[in-house]
Amino acid sequence: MSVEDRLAARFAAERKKQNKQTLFNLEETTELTHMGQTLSEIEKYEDPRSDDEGDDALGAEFVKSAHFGGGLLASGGPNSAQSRKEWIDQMIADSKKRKYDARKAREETLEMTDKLDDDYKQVMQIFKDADLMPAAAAPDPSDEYDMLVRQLAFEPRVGASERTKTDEEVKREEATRLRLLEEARQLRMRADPEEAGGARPAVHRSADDLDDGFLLDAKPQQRLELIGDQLVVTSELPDVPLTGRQAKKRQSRLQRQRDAEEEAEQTLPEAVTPPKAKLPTYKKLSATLRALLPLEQTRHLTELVMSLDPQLSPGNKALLISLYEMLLRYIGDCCRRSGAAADTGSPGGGQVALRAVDALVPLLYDLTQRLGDAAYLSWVAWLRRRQAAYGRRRRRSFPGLETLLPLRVCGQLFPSSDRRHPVTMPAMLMLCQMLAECRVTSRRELAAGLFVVSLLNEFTSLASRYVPEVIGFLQSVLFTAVPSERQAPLAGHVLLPQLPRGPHSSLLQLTTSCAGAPCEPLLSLSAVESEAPLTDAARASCLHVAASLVRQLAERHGQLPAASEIFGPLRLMMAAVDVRRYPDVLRNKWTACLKTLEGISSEKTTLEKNKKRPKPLRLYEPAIEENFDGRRRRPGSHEKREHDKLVHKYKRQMRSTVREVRRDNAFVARQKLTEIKTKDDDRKRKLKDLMASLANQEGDFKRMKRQK
Amino acid sequence: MGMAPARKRKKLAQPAPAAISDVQNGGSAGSDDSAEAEDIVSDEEEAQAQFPADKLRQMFAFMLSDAEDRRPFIARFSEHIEHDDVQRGGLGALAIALAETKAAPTQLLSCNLFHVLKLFKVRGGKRKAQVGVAADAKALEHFDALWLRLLQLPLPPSLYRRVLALLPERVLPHLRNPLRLTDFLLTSYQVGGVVSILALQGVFYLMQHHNLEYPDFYTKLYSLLEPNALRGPQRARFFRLVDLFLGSGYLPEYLVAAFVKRLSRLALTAPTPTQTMLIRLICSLMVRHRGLQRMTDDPRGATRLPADPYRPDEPEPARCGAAESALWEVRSLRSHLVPAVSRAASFAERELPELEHPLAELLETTYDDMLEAEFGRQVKEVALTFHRPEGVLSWREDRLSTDWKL
Repeated sequence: MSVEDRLAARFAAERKKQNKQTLFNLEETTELTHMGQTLSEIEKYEDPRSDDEGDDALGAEFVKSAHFGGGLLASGGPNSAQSRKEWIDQMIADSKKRKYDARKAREETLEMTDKLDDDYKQVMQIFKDADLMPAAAAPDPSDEYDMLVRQLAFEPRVGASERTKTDEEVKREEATRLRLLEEARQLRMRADPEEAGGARPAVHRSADDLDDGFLLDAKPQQRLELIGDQLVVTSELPDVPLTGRQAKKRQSRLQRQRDAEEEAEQTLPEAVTPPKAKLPTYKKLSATLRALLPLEQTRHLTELVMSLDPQLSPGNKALLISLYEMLLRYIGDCCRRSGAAADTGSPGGGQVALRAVDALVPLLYDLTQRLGDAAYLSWVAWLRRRQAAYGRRRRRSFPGLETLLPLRVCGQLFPSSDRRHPVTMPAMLMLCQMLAECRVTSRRELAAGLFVVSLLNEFTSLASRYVPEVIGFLQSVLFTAVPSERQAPLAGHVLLPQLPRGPHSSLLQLTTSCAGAPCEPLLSLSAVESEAPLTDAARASCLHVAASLVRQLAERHGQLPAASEIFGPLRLMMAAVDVRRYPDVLRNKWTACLKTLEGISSEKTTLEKNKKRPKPLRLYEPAIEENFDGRRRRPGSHEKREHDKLVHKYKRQMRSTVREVRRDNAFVARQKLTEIKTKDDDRKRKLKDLMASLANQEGDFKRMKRQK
Repeated sequence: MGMAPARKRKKLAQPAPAAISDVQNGGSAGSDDSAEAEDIVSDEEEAQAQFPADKLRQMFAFMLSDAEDRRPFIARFSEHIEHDDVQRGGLGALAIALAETKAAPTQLLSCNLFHVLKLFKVRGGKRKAQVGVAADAKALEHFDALWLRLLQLPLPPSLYRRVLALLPERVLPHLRNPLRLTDFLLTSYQVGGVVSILALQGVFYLMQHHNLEYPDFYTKLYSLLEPNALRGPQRARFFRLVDLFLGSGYLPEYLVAAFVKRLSRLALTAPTPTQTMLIRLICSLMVRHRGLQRMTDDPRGATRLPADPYRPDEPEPARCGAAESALWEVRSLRSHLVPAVSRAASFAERELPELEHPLAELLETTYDDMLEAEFGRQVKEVALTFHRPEGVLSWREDRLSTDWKL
């Protein structure tokens, strides 16, 4: 065997030994290498360091002059002194030296390249660490055109805009919007949620409930909430509707937060990077506003509201809410100021304050539309405060404009026609309470009472709801206009706390005949605050307003089944008054009103209940099948039928398995019994044998004994 | 038992207002308490002997002044009333003090006497008072005499009302012959107004337990149902009684019809918090007397009448013509501002319920309660108006600006 054969054989044997698992692998798995590099790598020709370069290390010129005898032929003259051998030796040495130099140069180049590569990698590492890449990528300053092009390229593309609507379309859309809103309002007006359905969603009660008041999840759940621009952990569920008390709590918490924010704003000088809108404190704001004319106040506030747009900064919403509360407070202050001005005898001052409120209302409306629920919370808090202030007084008397005028504004912001509105309903109840509890003893109270009646009249006009307190109050007011000698038979109609007594029972009787005197048909709002004594002119104005209110009420409630009973006493009182003493305007109003009252018919129609339709008998309809094909089809979808099929199959399998198992058990038991029986028999037989052999032995032994 | 006097004396010896020390200066407060406490005295007489009855009598004599208001002193004395021996001996001492005193029968005397007498409650009454005078014959005799004496004195109006309020539950059941108060109560009942309402329960007690015959009882009750009965602190008490008196199913239907009609007239202009109660009361009466359903559902069908046959000025329920009338008032209240009232009034349009509504929780509703309920209501969504106002008085329909200017 030759060496090569041996090598080949050994190689084959080793391979076989090394990878037995790849014995039948036809693919060549061994990587062949060349100078430490696999062939597949070399075949990529990525490395510029190929050893091919060494071939032409001598250079074309040297080869041309030295090889193939050219050297001898060409350089005969000067080199002839040398022998051929010498020349060849020299040439060989020369070429070797050249080759050596070339290799050396190449190695140096390679070394340098490697070094450069390494350096570059290191430098790159440093760049990466310093994160200075963007600086490297900074665009070179180029001319305006380039910049413009670049800008255009990166600008967001704007889609085609809708075409501008014509005036007509705008109007039509607005009309549609209003119509929809009106329909929704009508629905709310007529709805009585507790009556309509009758079936309130039953509150779930567990069968395990012990009725001990224990609530499993009574622990308040915590959640994150964004208040202002801070995340706050709150302990309320998100979608639980707020009750008034919760609302109050939440309100106070928000308020506290806002106060804190305000303080922080005052103490920290512009430390926050994003430009934050600033809300002045109430004192500053009211001082600023007070220095301005009514319209300028509104303009100033509009600018303030614009600077607090929630889209500018997320914290602005909270600021807007506190601005809203400040405005409510400011309105109250304006009303109080108007009263003070009226007292000091400068009606102009009061006018200005009221005009300011007047101008503020549209702004307040816009804010309410924007704030929604937050505005509701502010109003509820305000109502609670007012109610508490009213309840604190020992002697119940009508509150001033400070309470009454904002209540009017409240009716402009929230619909009063709803069956039950969380803001206007309490407001109306408060007004009712005032009418029922307060006694009228002065001009101020008279004007306030009439204003309250006007408010309730306005609030209930859309839904035309009936308020008994209004009728009662008007009765007690008109009673004081009746001449004293005719009052006695009418006194029974007036409720006790309002029954005017003593000097108050002639509050609205004219002291002198005013026939022919002028009469101002409108009452001024400032009369609600003024403490001036009641003059005949003021009496006439009050009577005018009262008559106007009675007429409006009579027109609205004239169709009620008991209208004649409701308005009977009022009619008697108005008829008992001596109209001849009244100014012409008032007399006309009075007679018109009396006419309306007399027009209310006392005719009645007996009542009848809404007859229920009788329940029809239950009939059994024949079950008629379309496309009858003689097969019974199971109802339900395909999936359901498949599922039912599987369930049926499972049940059948289960039953048969159980039967099999029972049979198995019986068989095993039977088998065990037979085994035991055979073993028993075996044992008995052996015992018998044993006893028999023992008896034999005994017999043998006895026999032997006998033989002896 | 033996401990009680000792403890008592200690309490009485506490620093007291000047008046007490005046009376007490002759007392023997310095006796040996510990020695007394040690030997168990079970003898009733000895206990009585140790009880300072004489001192108590002197105090009562001081209290029963005819010229001065002794209420602060009586308030101080009331701290000791819970003790058994004071309760036992007190009434006797008071009777003696009253007999001995030479006070003129003034209004102040009756005032003072009332406030002292009010402190003594007879045990085992309706309220089952734990603390109080044991109902033995002697104490009751004093109790009887003292109250009758009080009623003979001139009573100021406010005291008169308080006495009337107290009589039926605290006094009448323990008198030996409550019928002796008949005249007093009937006169009060005829007075009218709040006094009548207060006397009502006493009269009813006599009718119920002592067979007092009072034929005009319901006529009088009918006349008491006037608008002013809905005011004042007596409202709840009065309407609870009205509900009680009209509770019988054996009352004649014409009578109940008169009450129903009167109540519905009352409800028409009553203050809102009382309206639900009144309507519920009417509904309960109709449930008790199903025949009255014709007032809400005419068997002849809707018929036109020239006017309401009911005569509100007729004092006699039998002649007021209520049975031919109908409940137009309740039907009108269907459009009431407050949903609760409107809902209650809806009974006139539906089938009558099987059971009556309990009245108790509605008797004392006030505006504040209604407001609190309204504030506490759960809110899902708050509706807003959709017409932008131009100013306070100018809005779209301008009802306010027809009567008011800035």
